[in-house]
Amino acid sequence: MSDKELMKKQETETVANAERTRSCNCFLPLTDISEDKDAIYLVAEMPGVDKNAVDITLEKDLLTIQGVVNEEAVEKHSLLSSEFETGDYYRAFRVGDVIDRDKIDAKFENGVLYLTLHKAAAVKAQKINIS
Amino acid sequence: MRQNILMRRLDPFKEMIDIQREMNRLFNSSYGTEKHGYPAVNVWANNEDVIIKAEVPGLEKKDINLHLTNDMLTFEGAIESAKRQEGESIHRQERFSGRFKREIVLPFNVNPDKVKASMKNGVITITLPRAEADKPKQISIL
Repeated sequence: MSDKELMKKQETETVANAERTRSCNCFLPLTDISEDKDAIYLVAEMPGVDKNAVDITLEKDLLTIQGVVNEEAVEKHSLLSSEFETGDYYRAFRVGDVIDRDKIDAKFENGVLYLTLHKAAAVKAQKINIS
Repeated sequence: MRQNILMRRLDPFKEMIDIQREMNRLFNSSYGTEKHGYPAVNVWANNEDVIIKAEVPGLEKKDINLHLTNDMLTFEGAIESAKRQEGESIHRQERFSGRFKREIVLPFNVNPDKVKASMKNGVITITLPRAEADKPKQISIL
């Protein structure tokens, strides 16, 4: 056994303003967020989700990421041990007005979503020289 | 019924170990936030084979080593944490990074030549067929 222990996937409590129409679990994707002077970087894990089933929306200052799983169920076998459940992913982030809404780069690879939210030019810190 | 009772031998050590296991389970799981090693695995089996699925988002084939010894399957590898640039600050870090090693004991011996593993969207699926010699044999009464 590994000595590093992880928390089981957490289920999302509320799904924003819309009710879900699929009857399966919905999880919070584990996310890393970092920032430098040019952009905010968001890395979210959605194992089991296909690239085409990822949905990213930005409405006002709310960035929403969603992933729908389409995993084939294992048939004719009995489940001996289970540490993860399969389900959709949903998470919303408040991004504020620091980002440039037209410059968001997204990449999806091996079940991980990488988002780069470039900052709007106006909010980039400007150094003021004293004359 | 009567026979069952007679056959159950009293074993105080077993009872103690059972209690200990129950206690550990109780303390390890605090209201639904159960913990597990990395990667998280699900195991299915029937008389023919075992199917193991593991969640390894972000990893590529080359990042993960699978070994099989008799009835033990080992996952080993490392996830490098993202390289940070100077002046970059971290607001949230929930993803796992670092080295991992996980051993899974299979319910029976498998045929190592027929093991199949595939990886898709951050999920590994391994199918391990049961060794021919290990399969249950039907015995007919003469």
